[in-house]
Amino acid sequence: MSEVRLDGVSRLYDRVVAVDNVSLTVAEGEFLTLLGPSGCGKTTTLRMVAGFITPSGGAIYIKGADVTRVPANRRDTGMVFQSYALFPHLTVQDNVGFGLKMRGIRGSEATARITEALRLVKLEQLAERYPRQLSGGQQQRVALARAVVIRPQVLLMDEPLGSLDLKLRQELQVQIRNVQRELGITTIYVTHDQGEALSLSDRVAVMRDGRISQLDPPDKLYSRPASAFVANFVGRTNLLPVEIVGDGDAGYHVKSSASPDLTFAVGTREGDARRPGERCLLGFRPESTTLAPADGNRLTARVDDIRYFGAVRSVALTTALGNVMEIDLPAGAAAPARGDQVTIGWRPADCFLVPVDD
Amino acid sequence: MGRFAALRVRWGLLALPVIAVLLLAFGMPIASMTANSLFNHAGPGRVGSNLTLVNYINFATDPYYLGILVDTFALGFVVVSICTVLGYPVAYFLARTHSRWRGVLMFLVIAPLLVSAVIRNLGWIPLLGTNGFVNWALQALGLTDRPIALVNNFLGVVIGTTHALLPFMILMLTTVIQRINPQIEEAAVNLGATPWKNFTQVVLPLSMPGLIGGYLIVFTITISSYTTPAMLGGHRVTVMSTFVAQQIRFVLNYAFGATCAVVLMAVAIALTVMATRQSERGS
Repeated sequence: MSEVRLDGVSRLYDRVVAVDNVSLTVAEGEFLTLLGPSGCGKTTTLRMVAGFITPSGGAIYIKGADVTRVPANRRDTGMVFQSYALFPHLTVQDNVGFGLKMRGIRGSEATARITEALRLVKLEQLAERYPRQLSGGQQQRVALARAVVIRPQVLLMDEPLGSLDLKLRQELQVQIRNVQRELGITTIYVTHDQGEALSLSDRVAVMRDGRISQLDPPDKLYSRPASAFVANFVGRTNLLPVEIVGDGDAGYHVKSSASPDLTFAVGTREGDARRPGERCLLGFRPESTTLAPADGNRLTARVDDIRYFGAVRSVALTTALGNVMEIDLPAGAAAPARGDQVTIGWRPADCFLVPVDD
Repeated sequence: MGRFAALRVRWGLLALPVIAVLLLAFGMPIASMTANSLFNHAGPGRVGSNLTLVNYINFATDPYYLGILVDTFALGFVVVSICTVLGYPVAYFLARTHSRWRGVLMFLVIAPLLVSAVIRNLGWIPLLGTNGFVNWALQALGLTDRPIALVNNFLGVVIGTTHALLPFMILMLTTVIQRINPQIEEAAVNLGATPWKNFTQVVLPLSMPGLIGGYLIVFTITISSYTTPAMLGGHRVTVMSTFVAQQIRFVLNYAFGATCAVVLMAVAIALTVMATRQSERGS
């Protein structure tokens, strides 16, 4: 059963299209992330689900009911904001209890639910504090408790970790995921951080210019991006312009557009069949590339620079075709030196094809 | 450390001229006023040499004088209340709007401050008179059969003072409302608050510093204002400031005039301290 459904939802601002005909379905208990660069329409989409923005077209359903025209205060969503948006004049427990109070839930039931929500985010001992006495991370945990204590039909999170530093962000990611799983609450999460999107979500919708570019589970999004935009936005990617030569059961054979004697095997077939002669881009990830491979696809290159990251060494290369590329080598492996000529390789199963146009 | 301290001392020297002017312009008159109030009245224009509290006792025991104090306060409360009710929606709009007309509106709001009190009140007199525009409009709209006395009475003073002080209330509230994160209101609405609940439970409590600040400014200026009560009150409205002027300029009882002035000042200071305490407790 679909908990939240967007059906051809659009939003225009002064004739500028912020969200363009977006349709998607979030299943019950699912954690779906809207991922994209700023201005891609992800926050506008979320705010339309919350009811803060009225769509210019299309319809929004929550639990099968059309809520497109239902005011925000009667939508039964729980929202977490980037700015925390806690009530500064109320204590932590009164912040958490606000939604219960608005629903006429008082007394021992309210107290029990507030305590339970604070336990969920591990802040029971700070119930009497005021927001200004808490750190940013604690404030956002209060905001999470405040949003879930009303048991909303859908939890909406708008860049909730955007103003926290990296370490805290990672801790809170784990906590958000735990709370979400424990409550089994349907969640729509907005972020521009691809790592956050991949690690938290059941599915990720990558948005661009008001549209959904690709909507897939994280592993598929990463290993089989549908466009160069998604390939570049989600993780790092090396792209080579190629032309289809042949089509076999195991995948495609392609040749380099720049140097036709160089051919590569692509062990995947995604989307529509590609015809011989069609131009596209061959993509592979820095970490699925090895040095001096025994078999598979190969390419010679010159080492331009090496950066050390602890777990890996990132090697910047200029290939024989003139492309600038990046590959990751295990830090323990023998490292090439700057200026070395090397052969890099990747397995046919570890690469993908995306269209040229975009 | 030594260098910074020296620097701070040297910068501090720059404040000396202002401190000197403040002492001369404010401290001395207040000191001499307070001194006058503590001596007996020794005939027109003369302050006696007997140290006494008789002026204060006279003030505190005569219902006529106390009545003037009460009227003054009543004027203050009425003006503050009207300024709050009229000013809050405007302030909220100015704080939240992204309209290109915001600048124009802001100018209109502060416009009364750009005109001197005398000119502003002279402008009100023909508008509020028996045959003035306001009465004409009220009759044309059928709201009243005969002209209402809008000037040369308490109502006239309320109208003139409210007009003059509304900008302070609006500016004060706008500044404070602007600092309330709009997402806090969205959070309240998201959690099920109706617009009314959002206002009473969230926006209004968070506006308290602005309400207290606006109240302080409007109330203290109102109870000490002289020009507007004198010009729009006719001779029928006596407030503390007009009464003090009367005592000193016409009755020539400097001691009692000074006493009334000190009473007014003491009350204003007490209210300011109370309001400041209140707002500190709130934040």
